[in-house]
Amino acid sequence: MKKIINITLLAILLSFESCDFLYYDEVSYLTEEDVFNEFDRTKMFLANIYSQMPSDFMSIGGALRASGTDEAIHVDPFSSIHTFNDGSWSAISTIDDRWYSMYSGIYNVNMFLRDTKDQMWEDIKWNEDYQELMAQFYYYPFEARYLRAYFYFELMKRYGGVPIVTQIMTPEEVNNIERASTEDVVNFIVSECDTLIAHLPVTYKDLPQAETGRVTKGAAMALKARVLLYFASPLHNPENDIQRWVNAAESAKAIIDSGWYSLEVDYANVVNNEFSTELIYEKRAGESNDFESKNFPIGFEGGNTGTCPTQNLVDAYEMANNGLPISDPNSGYDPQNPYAERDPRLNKTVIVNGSTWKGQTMEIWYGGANAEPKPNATKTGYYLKKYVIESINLDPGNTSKKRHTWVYYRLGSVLLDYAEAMNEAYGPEDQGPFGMTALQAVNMIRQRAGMPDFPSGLSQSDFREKYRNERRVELAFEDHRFWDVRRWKIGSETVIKGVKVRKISDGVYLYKRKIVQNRVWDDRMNLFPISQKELFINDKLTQNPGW
Amino acid sequence: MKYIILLLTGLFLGQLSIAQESIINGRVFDTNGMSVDGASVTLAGQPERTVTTDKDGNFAIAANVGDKIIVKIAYVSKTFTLKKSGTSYKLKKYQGDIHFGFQFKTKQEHLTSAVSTVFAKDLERFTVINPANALYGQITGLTVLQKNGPPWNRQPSMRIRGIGTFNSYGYSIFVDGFERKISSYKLEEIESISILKDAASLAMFGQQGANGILLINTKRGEYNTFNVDVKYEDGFNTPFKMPNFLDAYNYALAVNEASVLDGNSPVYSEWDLEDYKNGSKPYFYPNVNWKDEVLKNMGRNTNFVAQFNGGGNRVRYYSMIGYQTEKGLFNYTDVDPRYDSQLKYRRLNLRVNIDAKITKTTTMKANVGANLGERKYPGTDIGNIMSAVYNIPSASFPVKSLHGYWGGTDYYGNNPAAQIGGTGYRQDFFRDIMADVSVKQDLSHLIKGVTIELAASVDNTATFNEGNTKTFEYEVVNVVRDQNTGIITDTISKLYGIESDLTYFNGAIDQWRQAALIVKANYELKWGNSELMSTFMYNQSKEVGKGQYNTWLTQNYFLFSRYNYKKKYFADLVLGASGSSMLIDNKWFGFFPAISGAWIVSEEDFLKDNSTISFLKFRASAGIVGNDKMEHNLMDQKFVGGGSYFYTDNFNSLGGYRPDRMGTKDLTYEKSYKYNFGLDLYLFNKLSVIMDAYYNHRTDILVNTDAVVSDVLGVVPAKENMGIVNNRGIELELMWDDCVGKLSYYVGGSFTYNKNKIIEQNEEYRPYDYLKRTGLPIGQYFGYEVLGFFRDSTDIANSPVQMFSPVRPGDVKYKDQNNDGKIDQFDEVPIGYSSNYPEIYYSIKLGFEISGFGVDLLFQGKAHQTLYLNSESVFWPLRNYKSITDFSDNTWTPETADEATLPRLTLLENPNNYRQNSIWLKDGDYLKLRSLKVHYTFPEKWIKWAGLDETEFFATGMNLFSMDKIKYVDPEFITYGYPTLTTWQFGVKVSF
Repeated sequence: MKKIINITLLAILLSFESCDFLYYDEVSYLTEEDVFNEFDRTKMFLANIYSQMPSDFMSIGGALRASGTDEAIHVDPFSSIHTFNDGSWSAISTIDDRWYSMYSGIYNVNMFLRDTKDQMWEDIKWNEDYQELMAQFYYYPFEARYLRAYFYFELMKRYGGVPIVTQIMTPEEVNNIERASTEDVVNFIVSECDTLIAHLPVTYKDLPQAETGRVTKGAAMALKARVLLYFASPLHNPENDIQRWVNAAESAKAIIDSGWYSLEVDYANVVNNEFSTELIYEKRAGESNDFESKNFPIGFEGGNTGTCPTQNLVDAYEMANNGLPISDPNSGYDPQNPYAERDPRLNKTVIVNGSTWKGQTMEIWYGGANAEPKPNATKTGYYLKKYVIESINLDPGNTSKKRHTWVYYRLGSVLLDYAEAMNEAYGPEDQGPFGMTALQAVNMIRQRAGMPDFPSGLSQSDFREKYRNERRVELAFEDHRFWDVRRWKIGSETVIKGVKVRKISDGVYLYKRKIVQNRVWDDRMNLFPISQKELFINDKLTQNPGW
Repeated sequence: MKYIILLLTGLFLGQLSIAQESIINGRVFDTNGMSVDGASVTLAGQPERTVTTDKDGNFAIAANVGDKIIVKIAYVSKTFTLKKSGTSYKLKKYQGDIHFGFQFKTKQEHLTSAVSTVFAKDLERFTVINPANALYGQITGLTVLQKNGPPWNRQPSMRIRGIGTFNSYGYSIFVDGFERKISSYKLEEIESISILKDAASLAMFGQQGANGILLINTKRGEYNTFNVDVKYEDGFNTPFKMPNFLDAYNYALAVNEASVLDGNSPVYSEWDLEDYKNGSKPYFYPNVNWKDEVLKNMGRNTNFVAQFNGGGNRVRYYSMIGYQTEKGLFNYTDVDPRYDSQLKYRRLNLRVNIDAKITKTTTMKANVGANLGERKYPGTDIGNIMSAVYNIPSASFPVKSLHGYWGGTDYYGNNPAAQIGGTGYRQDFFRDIMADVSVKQDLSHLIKGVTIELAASVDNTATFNEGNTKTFEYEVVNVVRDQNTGIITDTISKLYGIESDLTYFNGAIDQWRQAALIVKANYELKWGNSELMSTFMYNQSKEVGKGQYNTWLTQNYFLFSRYNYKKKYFADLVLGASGSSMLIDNKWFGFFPAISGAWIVSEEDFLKDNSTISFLKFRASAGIVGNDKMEHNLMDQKFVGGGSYFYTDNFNSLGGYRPDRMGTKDLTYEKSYKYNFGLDLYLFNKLSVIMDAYYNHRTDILVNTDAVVSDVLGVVPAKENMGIVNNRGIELELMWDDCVGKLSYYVGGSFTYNKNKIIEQNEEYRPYDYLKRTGLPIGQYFGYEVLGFFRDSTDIANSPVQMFSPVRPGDVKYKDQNNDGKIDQFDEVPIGYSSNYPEIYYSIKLGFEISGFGVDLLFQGKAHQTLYLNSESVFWPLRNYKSITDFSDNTWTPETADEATLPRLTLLENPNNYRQNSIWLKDGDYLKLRSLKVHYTFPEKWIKWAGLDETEFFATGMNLFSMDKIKYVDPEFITYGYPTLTTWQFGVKVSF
């Protein structure tokens, strides 16, 4: 009887215990398998990596990185961009710290490459357009590798050598990883680019679906040339190894020689023009007016000033008829009519007093419609024009939006890269083995701009000085100055000037330069500090010098 | 059976002793109205003439009417004069069975663990809709903090023994053995509410127990009684404490002051000010006190309960029917003839609890409860209405415009009167059914001492809503004044919005179901002076709520053994495996052991008949309890929507996917190592003392690891079970209970102190030690130390730069903690205490009764919790066109620079002033009178003729006053919303 009871009891207990009672699976998201077993989702995974490519529209505290250089100051006193300028930059107070966002892109690429290796896409095998899709897919891993190489370039620009990660790592591994040398990072990017140049197409126009926003052979060539130029520059080439300049010149020349790109006729069309023949690679963005509402001048509906170009930049524009700098007594510069007869690119880059914006004459004189003492008016007497789309309307109820395109490389910038490398390697007028001199390359830019040619017979260093001014003007607000002053080790100008304009009578103004900001510069700022947090976690990481 | 034996014994004794002695029976109950089981009843001077009460409190003794009897249980004893058969004898203070989950219970004096309980008698100091609101200061170790809201939404925030984790510190509530919601119950149907606090009582809850457990037991039928209790009460509620908003004239003055201090010109002209002051143009220069306009002085409450309690040998029952209403405080509810949008709450509660003896060896319990009702409110969300009441300045617009439309401005289209009366109404209908049944089979005839029990429950709750809502039209009138003469030259009127038709809607807004099963096999053994009771238990439960990720499954196996020697030394053991569906498949289970012991020192010979110490017990326990409350599916790396890209020339974007946080590979539950030491003491037959000290060590708390994993990883690293928190505290509960002549009185209270410390949380890198959160309590406030206010521009120029917004004289000046010449995120320091729990929580209970007239008071207080005074309009005035109150009377002006306690007024955002700093971080300490009850019971002889047993008139007041440091508003409700209330109830209770 006891037995029976015991068995009965046991049976009752067991009957309630089903071993999978706790099994419960509720899922509303995709797993790695879900993403990489489907062609469409994998394509979307790659789209996200493309979206991680950095552009500089309002990228730091609402400002362009230009406001961290002598090109501009940002009007909002609480924007984090000022950390670059006020001396508070440190490993604790980091700014523009891309350590995480770039490694996030790299992680995604590494995952993409791992999970798409040898994929045959069973899910679309029986689709009519299978061959077409596979033809597109052929390029995907190369595109992904391009993006990864670019992410490393962004890291290298900031930190020099960084850990090279080419596959997914565990937390333990990354916590003990060491920095590679700058040379290793450059070699990695260059060797990747060499592979990509061999595989990526010149254009996607003729491929199925004509997805022209993807990276091309030209983009890979341009990245290689840019990286090599940086690597040849004084910051990374203290011994001035001439071969590095030769390498940079050679790879820039390959792009010029390809014949795929031609200069725009009008300098005003080089940005925000995704169909430009000059464009080599760009970051596309959807329609928006965020950049305009940040940067439209005060006195226009919705305007908030944002970027204030400096007098320092404005002074870099030469006189148009003789190509002389305004500091030259023979230039013909009139301090009380300062914008007359200047390099035409000035008016295409900066809004100056008396110029026309949205059909109105700009009143950037004290008390004028677009000037102090209006709150938030420009601090320097100038407003930004380049990249700002004038036709956008910010009137409430009638707002409009337009596409923006951030330029990574255009033929114009490649010509300048080439000119720089050639001058350093061979001098201004020696064509070396490449069939084009530094002077010739620069003059192509000068002619397009409507400026007189550089004179012949300049010494290497005179050419260098004039070249640097030309580069500053041509590539203003395209995120070059910030990096150029670093790789040339010339430091950013610390006395930031503006202009105070008083109206005497209609059309007659009194211009007076003024100092608007005194900045702090230290040579350690040629490289960024690695965040103290990273060093705290990984004691194998070394800090950049001086931080 | 026992009763019959007693009776026979009595008869037998009667035969032998003096002839006129007869068998007199009676019933012993305690102050909580509960039958006292196991009390000894001794005829005075004749210790051999002792009988024991059965589990329904009944005894029968051979004696004469008029003899003295001594009734004694545990540490409580009292002498009575024996009255005629059927009389009940009330013991002064005794708490009967203590429940500790899964239908286990024990006598309080035999308890080895830390459990605190409040009984019906104390709960009924309150008249509330949600029983949780009757718990302020009532259970030692339970912190209950009041919340504002409409009648159906006042669930107070409750914590058991402070906070032991920085993840979810929620705890489960079990009613009659199954997990349920406290708000489904009516206060009057509840017999007792307990909290389980230490490992010994919580281990059986496995992965659900670490944050404590709240247990509720509903009332049950009493043997050999037939009782009907009917109670009706009626009362009113008023807002407890609301801020005083400035009138239009003073508001306009304040705006002008702020504007000038901002460096701009005044907003209102002298003529505007004059018109606001004299009120002669109410349509153009209105002065509306929105609080008085929109809220009435009082709302109304009613409450009716009938309880039926009784039964015989085979079947006992408890049944209740209750109906309760609350009507809200809104005006303008009947402006539209088609509907009334007053806040209304009505509900009906039903309960039937049956205990039945089916066979000699089989007993069964069946409990069914229902909670049905509706709530009605305006078409606009109550929070939005109250936000309008608080934020719209009195000078903004009239309630109704000159042309009879609702008033408004270009900025404010949310006229609160229109939102109440002109936006229709909404109604929710809720129905909760709670049912459970259990059967207990005694198998002693097969194996001695074995019983098996089976219990199951099914609950189902649902809430539906429907309503008719509309929008309203309002008129904005702008006045044009001649700038030179001040004459009003024109008024421009614009109509906004649409007076729409009523739109009907309906839907389901909530549902929840629960099903659970408990199987127990018990084995009891007695030998010599030893008693052993062992139970093997299996239970499982499934809870499903509405929506995704709202399902929880649990499964537990437990062995529970209790041993005692001579009822003097006690030892309990719990060993269990508890599983939760929240964990990784097939790694669901954890191991939960606990041991506890007690020693009743007063049973030892040296203390046995001590007249001072009538009871002394030491308790100690240790064990492990878990917490599985966490996000679902942490083990997976999710892939979610990422950035899109524009591949084609026509700029069609293609969406993206990105990997989210990595999955936690070894996901586990939190473990709380709990240690408790306790002392129960009863002195002079008057003073009871319960003391506990505890130490909880919580490990495996889920924490983010991004602070300890290099960003080179490239993805958010997994959450890991790495956090550690220590929590410790002491609890003290005192009660002095005595009679002086006809006057009986009591005074007592409770005190708890809880303090936790974060030991490990993978804190992010902090460059300065004073910024570290680790080592401090959870929720510790950080802010900026205020040095004063900037006097002038020189002062500003000579001070460190403050990186938040441009500063002007009168703005807050902060201390530069790291002396780097600027005030930024590295200059924060800990200020005050934690935001989310008070370290000190206490209560004081006192009362007396004389000749049927009595008064009971309950005070409750807290200390060491910091408030962040950040409500706009109330503490942060005028910004974004908001209102202002008299809180801002002492703001900085150039004239009052020395006395000012608050920064200057401003119309701008001013992030410099309005951030966490020592001005806005204030002590939330208070002492509140939670309940005052005055009652009068008619002498029996007055009502006997009507067949009544007892008639009591009473008045109850709740939340009557508060002593605190905020003074200005309710320290428990510093923001805006439907106010906290003071409630008065008047009622009568009749027993048949």
